[in-house]
Amino acid sequence: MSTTLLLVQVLNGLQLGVLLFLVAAGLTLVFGVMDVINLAHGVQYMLGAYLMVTATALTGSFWLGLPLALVAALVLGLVLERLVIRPLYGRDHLEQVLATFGVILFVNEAVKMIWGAAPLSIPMPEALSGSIRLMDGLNYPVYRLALLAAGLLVAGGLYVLVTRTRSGMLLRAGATNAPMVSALGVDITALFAKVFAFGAMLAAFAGAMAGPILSVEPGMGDGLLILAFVVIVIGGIGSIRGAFVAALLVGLIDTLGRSFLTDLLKLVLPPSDATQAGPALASMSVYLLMAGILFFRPRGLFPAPA
Amino acid sequence: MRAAALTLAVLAALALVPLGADNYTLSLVARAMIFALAAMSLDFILGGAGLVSFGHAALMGIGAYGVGILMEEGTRDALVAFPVAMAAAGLFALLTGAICLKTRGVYFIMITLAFGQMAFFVTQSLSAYGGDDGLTLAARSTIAGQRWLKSPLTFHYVTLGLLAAATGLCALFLASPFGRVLKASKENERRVRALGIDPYPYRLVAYGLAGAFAGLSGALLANLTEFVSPAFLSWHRSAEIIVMVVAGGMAASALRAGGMGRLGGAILGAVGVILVEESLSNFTEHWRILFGPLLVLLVLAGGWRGRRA
Amino acid sequence: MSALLEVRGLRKSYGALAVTDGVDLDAVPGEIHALIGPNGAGKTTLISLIAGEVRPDGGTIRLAGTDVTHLPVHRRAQAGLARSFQITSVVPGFSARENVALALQGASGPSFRLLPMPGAERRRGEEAKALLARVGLADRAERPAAVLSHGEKRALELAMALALKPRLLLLDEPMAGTGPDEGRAMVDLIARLKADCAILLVEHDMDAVFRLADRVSVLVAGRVIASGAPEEVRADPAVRAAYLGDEA
Repeated sequence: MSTTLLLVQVLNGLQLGVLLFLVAAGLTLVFGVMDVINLAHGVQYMLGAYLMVTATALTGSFWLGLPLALVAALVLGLVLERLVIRPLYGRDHLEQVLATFGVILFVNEAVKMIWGAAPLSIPMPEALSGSIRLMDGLNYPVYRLALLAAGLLVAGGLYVLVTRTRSGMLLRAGATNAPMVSALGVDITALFAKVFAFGAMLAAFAGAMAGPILSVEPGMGDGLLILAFVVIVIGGIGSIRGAFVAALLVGLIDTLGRSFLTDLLKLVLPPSDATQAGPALASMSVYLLMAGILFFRPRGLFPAPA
Repeated sequence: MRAAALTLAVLAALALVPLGADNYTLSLVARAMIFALAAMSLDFILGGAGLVSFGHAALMGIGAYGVGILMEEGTRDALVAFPVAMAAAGLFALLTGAICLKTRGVYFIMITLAFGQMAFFVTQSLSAYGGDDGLTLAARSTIAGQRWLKSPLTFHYVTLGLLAAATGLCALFLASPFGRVLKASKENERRVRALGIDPYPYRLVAYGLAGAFAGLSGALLANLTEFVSPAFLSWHRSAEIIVMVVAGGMAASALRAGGMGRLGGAILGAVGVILVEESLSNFTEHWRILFGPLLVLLVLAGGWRGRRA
Repeated sequence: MSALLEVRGLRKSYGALAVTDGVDLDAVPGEIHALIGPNGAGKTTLISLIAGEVRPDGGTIRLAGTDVTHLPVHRRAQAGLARSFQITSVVPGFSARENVALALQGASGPSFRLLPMPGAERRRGEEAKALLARVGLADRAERPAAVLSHGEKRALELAMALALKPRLLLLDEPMAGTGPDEGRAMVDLIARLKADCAILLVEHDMDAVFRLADRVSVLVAGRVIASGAPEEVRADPAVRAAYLGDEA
């Protein structure tokens, strides 16, 4: 295995990690702050991509389309919160699972009816469409680097927002003691709605940014949702820092496992066995990581203060 | 004992189906009974023990792949393949359950979901057994060398017999002192611990048993469709099985015949959901656009919460 | 007679707040040891530490000579510790008889016999009914626990505790919320129980405490400030100042 290939895969892994973080951040906040398990978070990622398809087509520009898509996602988040999520606060997790699963069925189907079942694509912005020479024999697409940078930037901003600002502090206080915060005269319902819609927008941002390098299709958020769950379970529910560390870890392990595990196994196994076992083991790797971490730290790497 | 009466009534109705049914209906009802077996095994741990397990399709799929892989390797007989399918799914449930059951609430939901997804990806990577495309079975399993399962009528009654037997066993488990610990731990775990009982091993055994019965339902499903694929293990299907249990439990409590955890409701729910899906999908290919909001309304309308009071 | 429960130097802090601050406490078979103290003194934490629901920061808890400091709740229960809860805790969906049957299962140790055993169940049912009769609930055996009155639930909790044949009984405010008649019945019942085991009683009702207790310890701000016979404690100036005020 060459150094160049390894470097490319590390970059790809970090990219997946960043996307996962954007999705997981909203999920972990919504769970940590509102104690709601929202399966429909994956469709918000998908909606982000589809809204981006339409917004770029309408405006003819990636840069005008992006804010338009984000605003639309924010509005849809507010609508979903008002119609479905708000009545679920404080209710059984099983009820939340069922209702938000109903939302998934609805949105996946609606997307099929509106945009069709065939995969769509988002044109890459002109300015970011080339590739850049990182070292000898290694050219890497600029867009992918930009995606990585944008994700890291949002992560940093989010961290500052949650730890340094008044809203962030209220948010964290609301997570541990909602009645206390509402006794302070803060409108908890409005705060929750904002957090939910903001989380929806982050997921949509991930979808919109991933659009140009992935195919945009119905159900594209379903697999990512489960990986995001793995991320927040590893990171510790409610912890932004945990979600960040775990997202990068999961992104790297999943990507590197899929590219290199078979070759590594060939060092110890007959090649035919390695070709069989490699992909199977690689697809299990992040879940085994999760199992291992839970075994030693049942509440994740960065458990939120009880 | 209206709960037992409901179970018997549904099973009796299923026994009468072949009297006036064509092969298409028989195959639809067989599918419903197979999902009823899976839903019943989920109700055993969800309604019975309060464990919101979100990986049931994976357990079912492991049973299906058990039959498929054995057949590919030359073992066709159900007397071997079905027990192996049950053992494989039961073992997977025990291994993953050992970790999942250390956690509570929403962690439990997410981790069972994650392990289910792990099994899904593993089946996708089994290139020797069809990988992404799945595996077509050469034929249905034989029973002691006989090709009985080929006949839709025999298949119907074999499936019904296994469903009835499994339901009877699970009902006995819940009625035993073992079941008493499960039910009590669901309602008041702290109290159970203070009485010197650790719920963990009881839950683990129950989880393994539920896994084995889900595996059996998968073995039957593989035979019905003569095909297995990773789609059998998708987490959407796990959610659908939960819907069957919950909707059936609501229907049963509306009939004053017990709610979740009484098994009969889950059977009714599975049959109902399969039939509703079938009729909606005859009506429009976009039936989910109706089914989704229906589900949301079902929960928001107050759901089954009243039952607890 | 040596102590059945020996608590030594037990400490527990939440952040900077020491809720249990070097507590020593004994309970002796055949005696009722009452633990009193103003609200916020740390009684509930102390009970939770002894029952095993909260892990201490330091100190030891010995039960019948065995160190149980690091054992989980169910292991302590198996070692002979039974309790009632400050807020009654029964299995609401079960009948009174089934609640006691569950406790009897706890007493007989883990069993994974998956199928019903009618013979053993009948014997357990009889035993459960006998225990219910002992706490005055003979005619309530088949009622769901959820519909029992508050006092009846308290009595049911006691029957469940007795089913464990405990060596140490922790009673967390058994009088709380009971009416005058129920309260009197409860006092009589507890008085009869002490023949069989050591009892640690946390209670706010001072009449009940001074009628029942053989020994009283006073907990203030996480420390035991006085411990002794009821009259001594009642007369202790520090206790009067800190807790009883002029009422006593």
